[in-house]
Parts: sequence; structure tokens; C-alpha cells
Amino acid sequence: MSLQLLILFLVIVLVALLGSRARRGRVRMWPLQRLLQTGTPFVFVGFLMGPQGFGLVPGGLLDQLRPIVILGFGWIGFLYGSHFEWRRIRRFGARMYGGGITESVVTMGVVGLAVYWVLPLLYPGMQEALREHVAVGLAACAGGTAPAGVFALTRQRGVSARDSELLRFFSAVDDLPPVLLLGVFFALWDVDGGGVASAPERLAMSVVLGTLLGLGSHLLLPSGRDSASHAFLLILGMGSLCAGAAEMLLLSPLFVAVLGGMVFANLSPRKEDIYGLMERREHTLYAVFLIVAGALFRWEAVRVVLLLAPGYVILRGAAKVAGAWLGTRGVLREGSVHGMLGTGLVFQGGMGLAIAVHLELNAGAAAGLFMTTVVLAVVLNDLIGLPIAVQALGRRRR
Amino acid sequence: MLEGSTHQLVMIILHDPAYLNDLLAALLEAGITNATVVESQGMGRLLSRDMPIFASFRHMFAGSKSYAYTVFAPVEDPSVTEHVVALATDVLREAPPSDRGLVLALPVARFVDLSEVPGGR
Repeated sequence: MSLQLLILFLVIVLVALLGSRARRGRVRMWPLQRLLQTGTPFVFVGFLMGPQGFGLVPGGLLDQLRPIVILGFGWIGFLYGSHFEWRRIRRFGARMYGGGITESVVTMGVVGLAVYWVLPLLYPGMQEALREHVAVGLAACAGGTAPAGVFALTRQRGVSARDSELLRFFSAVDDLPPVLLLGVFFALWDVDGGGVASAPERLAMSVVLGTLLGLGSHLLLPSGRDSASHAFLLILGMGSLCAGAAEMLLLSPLFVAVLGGMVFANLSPRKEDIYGLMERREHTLYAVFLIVAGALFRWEAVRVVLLLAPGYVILRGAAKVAGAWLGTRGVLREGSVHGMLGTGLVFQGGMGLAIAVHLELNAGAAAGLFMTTVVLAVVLNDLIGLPIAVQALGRRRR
Repeated sequence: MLEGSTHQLVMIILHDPAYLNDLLAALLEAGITNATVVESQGMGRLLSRDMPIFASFRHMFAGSKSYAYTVFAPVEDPSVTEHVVALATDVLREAPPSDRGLVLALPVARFVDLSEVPGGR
């Protein structure tokens, strides 16, 4: 890593740290407070730092920062996976999971098909493989919901207790299908044509790597309170190793790390310590991702900025509403749930943004398409998602 | 049943759950066997951390994020209070300053030990 890149990375981390502290600060002006709670300011700072802003960040940033971003995937995936502990999972019925997963799958299906259909109109002559890649990728980015937005919404007056509970539950599980899709997609799709194994073998390798990560973290973890920081470093090291190995084998580091987190959470008695340490730094890590995403935003992709991204936001919103309706009425069989529940699931970011960065790393000829679309969608949903959801769910229209 | 009690209520707010067992051992050493421990969360932490970024499944469960404990211990002898404060300070000295929490000792206006009230089975 060159000195220039190291300084750049430190500057990004410093901005992320300061910004995260400001988010937790006691800002009383509502619009400013709301804006600080979103990721938009970090995206804007990243954009200003990027090649299209003041040029502090040189072009090709993502490639140069690749090892650090991979480490971030290991962290995010492990943290996400560590939520799914069997003793917690079993406290909800199968229908609840069915409802949440239906919402996510419907959203991905609608968005994926629509993007697949619209791409030749925007990019005549686009190769079929690339078209499929972009459609599946943007679908995976669309499936999940940013939990922070849902939590902000459910603190508002007027949203019923049951609607709030379902919104929180759906946003907690609807990132699972996209992560799974990503794992399968990377196993099936040979990124550089350099894969050495068949698709089932590559999928099996992902599962083995994830299991090894969880098992290894559990077995190698030192015991005792004094070793908390050592334990944290060990988990980070294991996560980086497995995410790096996944990257080298052209698999999905996010998928591998999620599996590792799940295995660890179900085996280790020290999961609470580790979870607490990782979660404490979650805001800063996310801010780093947002800044990187902002730096990669491309205004010159006019077709994306003016057509694809706004269409993506509208379509995703409609698909969320349809998916949540099917999930609650069709699977959960709950007629009393608000018919527009899905408006509370439009918030994008978190895992969706991490998936977009992941795809951008391997975008090839589609470079810029993922980040520009998803960054715009994250910002638009941040700005308009909450007022729309409050308007829709605050009243008891069924 | 005492009115105009000389009792004090010692409250220890512990921000790092890892020190709970050591703290309870210290209370035992000071002769306190009737402390009550409740899981708690600081206001700042509640506001900032109840906004998960990447995952929120654990946040579905009340009490799944016990970042702090509050220990209540009624103490009759003020010298015991001093002993408890010294022991708690000693136990938590090695914790990072932001995780050490605080110790309060409040005068008790009235103290009723219901186990000593006659009647019942």
C-alpha cells in the first residue's frame, strides 16, 4: 500500500469517525438531525472527495482500496451472520420467516426482471451475460431493507404496534435472500473465466470456508475478560483471511462471512462479547463504505442518473409494497396488517450498499452502473422514504 | 421495620457486563448478600445503538442487548458503604474509563424488610 493511499484511507476513517460521533450528538434541529441520521452526508463528502469533486481521491480508488474493502466485507458479513442464533430464530414461527422472505424474493424478482427488460433500451448492444449480471446484481441490492430507516419509522406516532413489529422483523430477515443469491450467483458465474471448479463445487467451497471461519473463530478464541481486544483482533483476522480466500477463489466474501458469523454465534459462549465489540464500530464502518460509495459515484452516467436510478427507486418501492402485501396477506394470513406496509420497507443501505460495493468490485464492463444506481437510490430513499412511509402508515387505511 | 432509617441504598451502574461477577464477589466480601441486579441501558447508548445498520435480528428481542447492569444494595452501616465504594473502585479500575460506570449512595427514608413482617405461612 503506497503512502498516499494510506493517508487517504486514514482521512476517510477520520471523516467517518467524526461523522459517526456527530450522528450521535445532540442536534436539536429536526431536519438536520434527520439528515445526520441518514447516510446522505457521508455520500456527499465522498463525492466531494472523489474524482468528480475536488479530486482528493484518485480514480480507480476501489481497486487500490480492495484489500481494505474485503476486510470490511468480512466484518459486515460476520456481524450480520452472528444475529442468527438458533435459540433466537426458533422464537418466531415459520410463517413470519415466510412472510419476510416472500417480501424480499418478490422485490428481487420484480426488480431483476424489470432491469433485465429495460437494459437493452438504455444500452443497445449490451452483451447477454452482462445484462444478466447487472439484472441479478441490482435485484440483490434491492431485496433488503436498511434497518436504521425502519427503526426511525417505528418510533413515529401513528404506526401500529403490529405493523411496527412486522416492519422490524421483515427488515431483519429480508437481507438473507440477497446474500444467498449473491453466494449462489458468484458460485455459478465465473467472474474472470478463471474459476477452477464447477458451480456446485464452488458453492460447496463457499460453505466450507464459512464453516471454517465460524469454527476456527470459536476454537481459537482466547478465554477470559482481559483478552477481549485479542479476541476481537482474532475474529477480524479470521474474517479477513476467509473473505480474502473467498475473493481469491472468485467466491462471495460476504456470503462466506455471513455463514461464518452464523456458525460462530451458535457455537461460541463468547458471542456476546464479540458481537458487542463489532457492533460498537458498525456506524464508523458503514460511514467508510458510504464515503467510498460517494467517491465512486459518476455523474457522467447520465442514462443511469436520469432514467435507471429513478426508475429503480420507484419500481423497488412498488415491489416492496407488493411483496409485503403478499407476505402478510398470503403467507402470514393477517388481514389486519396495513395494506401499504411495504412503504415502510423502502429504506436502502446497510447490506444493500455493501452488496453494491461487492458487485462494483467485479463489475467489469458494467463499472459504475451498480454504484451510481444504488447510491442514488440510497440517497433518494433516505430523503423521501420516511415522510412517505409516515404518511402511508400513520393513517389506518387498509 | 424502621422509620427514620439509617440505611443507605448503594447503587452501582456498571457499563461493562464483563465486570459483573467480580463486582458481586466484592459485594460479598463486604458482607452484602441481598443486592438486586437489573439489566439496564444508558440513554445515550439506547438512542445511538437502537439504530442498527447492517443487521437487526437481535434487536427484535427485548433485553437482548444488555449493555449495562445496575446493582442495588441496601446497606445499614455507613462504613460498609465506604468499603463497597472502595472495592467497586478497585474492581473497575482496570476497565476503560468510559465503561467504569458510577457508584451512588442514597439515604433511605424508610426501610421495610418484608421477610420480617409477621403473618402468612
